[in-house]
Amino acid sequence: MNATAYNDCVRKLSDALYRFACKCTGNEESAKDVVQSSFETLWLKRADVPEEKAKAFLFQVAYNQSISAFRQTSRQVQQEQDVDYSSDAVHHGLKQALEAALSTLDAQSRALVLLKDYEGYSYAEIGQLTDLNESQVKVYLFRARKKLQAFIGKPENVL
Amino acid sequence: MVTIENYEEYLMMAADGELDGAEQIALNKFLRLHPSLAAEVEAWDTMRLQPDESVVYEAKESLLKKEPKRIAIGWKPIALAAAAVLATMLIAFPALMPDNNVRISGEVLIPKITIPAAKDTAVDYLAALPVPQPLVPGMNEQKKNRKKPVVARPKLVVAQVSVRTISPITPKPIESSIVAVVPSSLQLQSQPEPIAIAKATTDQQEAPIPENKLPRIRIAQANQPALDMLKEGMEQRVTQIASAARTIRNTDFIVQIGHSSIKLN
Repeated sequence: MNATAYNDCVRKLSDALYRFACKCTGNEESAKDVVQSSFETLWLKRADVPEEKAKAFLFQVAYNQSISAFRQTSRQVQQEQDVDYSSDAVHHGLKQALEAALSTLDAQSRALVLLKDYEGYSYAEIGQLTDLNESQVKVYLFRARKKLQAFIGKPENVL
Repeated sequence: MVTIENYEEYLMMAADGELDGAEQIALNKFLRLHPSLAAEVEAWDTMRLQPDESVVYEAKESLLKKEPKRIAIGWKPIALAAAAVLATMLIAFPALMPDNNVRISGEVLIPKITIPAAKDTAVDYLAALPVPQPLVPGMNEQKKNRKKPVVARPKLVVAQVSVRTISPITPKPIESSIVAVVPSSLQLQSQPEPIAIAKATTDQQEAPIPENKLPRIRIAQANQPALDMLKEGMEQRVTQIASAARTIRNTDFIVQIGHSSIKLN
């Protein structure tokens, strides 16, 4: 991958990577660090990463760094204490309710849902990015979605 | 097989587009048998997170890179630099220049020396030697203008032969410079050791040569024909030089071996 291809990746993928990192880390500053570090890693490894694999490489790096950042800062506990995401809260629209419900998931489950819903990766592709096998991805995703369902109740009940 | 226990997994996989044809047919068949699950099917289909397109990474420009410039150096500058370094080294260290020693691989070349007859004097013998050419033009003319000192004890370099033998066992060649006389007892030596090689006097008396001044000849287990030729040629020279030396009096004989020399009194 040359500099031109790398710069194309920056223009095409930096927004999606940033949104993914924002949701995974729950913090914009951490997400910026993750994006910057991911692209820096891609630049250093550009000789070994073909252009068609650049997106998967970026999300793999971002996933690992987001999980690490999330666990180090233990923001999950803090957010659960600061924000009332109880199922009794009123959310205007299914989208807002899902965003709120997503914040209650652990970092790995959150990343799996985002990789599936945001980026449309298959279970097999998610397994490659997250170093899980396909069956594990399916099980973890099912548990995460059931938890989202339990949080928001029935979709038809959302205002 | 889709059952009431696992149908939710199938619903999720169907919403995620992960079912193959057979699994999708089995799920559809199951749902036709359970119409009450239609609402759940819709719930799984609609419960998808959508990215917020308004959230963008604003510092894209800081991530952009430029291809590092590569400085192409042609062969000409390198060749010129190498030539300059080599020339400087040769000027600064003349010892690096090729010497005049005869280097032989597999054969021996011995320079021809005219040995005067027994009745000739040392001065006659020296006159027969080739006159070295001056390194600087006009040097001889300058020398002519000088008053030549009387040569009372001329220096006589008898012979000089350089032999290079290449060992078939050891790839690194061992070089020896041998001058004058090699005794007939010369044998192949696997280990280098000093060998007395010269015996010449000016008054028919054999003057012993100190042990520590004897030159060292290193002859590896090497090319036997070359060594035989060396031995034969040297023995001939021994005879001639010894014969000449016995007739010359009041003259120093210097046997030179490489950079070492032995003065025979």
